[in-house]
Amino acid sequence: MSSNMIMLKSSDGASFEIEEAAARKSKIIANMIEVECVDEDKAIPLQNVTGNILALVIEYCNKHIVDDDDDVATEEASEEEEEAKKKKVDDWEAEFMNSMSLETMFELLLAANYLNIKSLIDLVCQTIANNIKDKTPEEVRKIFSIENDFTPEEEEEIRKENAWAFG
Amino acid sequence: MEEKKAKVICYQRRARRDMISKLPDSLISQILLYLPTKEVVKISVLSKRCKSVWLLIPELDLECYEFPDYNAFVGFMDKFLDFYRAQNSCLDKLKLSIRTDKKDQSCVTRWIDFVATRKLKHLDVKFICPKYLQVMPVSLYICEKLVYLRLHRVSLGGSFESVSLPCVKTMCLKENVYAKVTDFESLISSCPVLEDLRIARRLDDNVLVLRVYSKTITSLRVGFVRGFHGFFYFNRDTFRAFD
Repeated sequence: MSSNMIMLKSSDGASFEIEEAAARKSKIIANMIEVECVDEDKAIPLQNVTGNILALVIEYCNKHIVDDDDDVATEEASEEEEEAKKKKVDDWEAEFMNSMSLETMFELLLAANYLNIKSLIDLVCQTIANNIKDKTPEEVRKIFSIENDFTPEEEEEIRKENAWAFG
Repeated sequence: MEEKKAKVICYQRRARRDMISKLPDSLISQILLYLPTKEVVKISVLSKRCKSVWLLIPELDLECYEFPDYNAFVGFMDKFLDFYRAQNSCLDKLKLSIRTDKKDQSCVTRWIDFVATRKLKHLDVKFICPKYLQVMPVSLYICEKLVYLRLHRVSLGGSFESVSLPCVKTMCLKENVYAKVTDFESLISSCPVLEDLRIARRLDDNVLVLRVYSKTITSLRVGFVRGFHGFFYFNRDTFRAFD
């Protein structure tokens, strides 16, 4: 069953072939497969995802489908092996997230949300949170290009209200 | 060293466009879930959008000592929960670490009363006060959706007639005191799906014999205060892990 291939088509017309097992990481696509909306000869059009982002989503799904298969095959694996495997996945995920710009990261998050891939949503949210952690509001604004739409008086008021958090 | 390097890389990485504001509320609040409450509060000052979103987080994790004083902490909690009440929102998780020498039973009672009736899943209360033990309100013992319960240095029981914690799987009871000798047993036997139980006892906890009757516990850890000599009974059929 895992050798079944599915075609996905990005919003900008790029086509990708992906194993069904990997595509099922997306709840939306899995549902489509369940209700047999998927025509073998036709690509599934994904209106909200561009080709470069879809390529990243597929890279993620392919990587994780292999890992999930491993889990089933080695149920008796020792704790050490489990740990080593988990570390391998963590390292891969860190490298994967590190390879993209912040803009790409946000687009990937929106795509993961649209396709409903929970583990990928969690991974991207965690990475974005790491970029916010231990920084001053000014630094966070700069990193994420957030426009400050408060007047200085309004901002002062908010800071005063929760002075404990800004200390 | 490596961590430091990673931080530098992250810091150099910058977005050319404001992408956070383009995210739906649900995703922003999911990002905020990975931050401690103090960091989340700081988000409120970034922009108007951020100010409206940070209050949607379903988790609170606060340490009293992060506030300039105890009153500031109580004020923040009350204001936050007032907002939740007004929005008709629910808290999933509440973690409080309180250190005070003030005898103020009412605030913790009203906070737990509020969250316990709103689908709370995770409660962790640590109350360090040299003068008295915080009494847990009755509402805690009928918290229907609670899955995780950790209590440290509080007083439990007294009115255990209707205690029912049908979803609690993990319970950690540290240095607590029980109002009646039978209260500990009543508490444990009111958790039909309890799997993981950790207890750290104190000399004056009012539990003569620690009895654990459970068919679901798979992990049990009991710690004793130094100098404590007690008996320990357990009764169950399917212990898999016991350390």
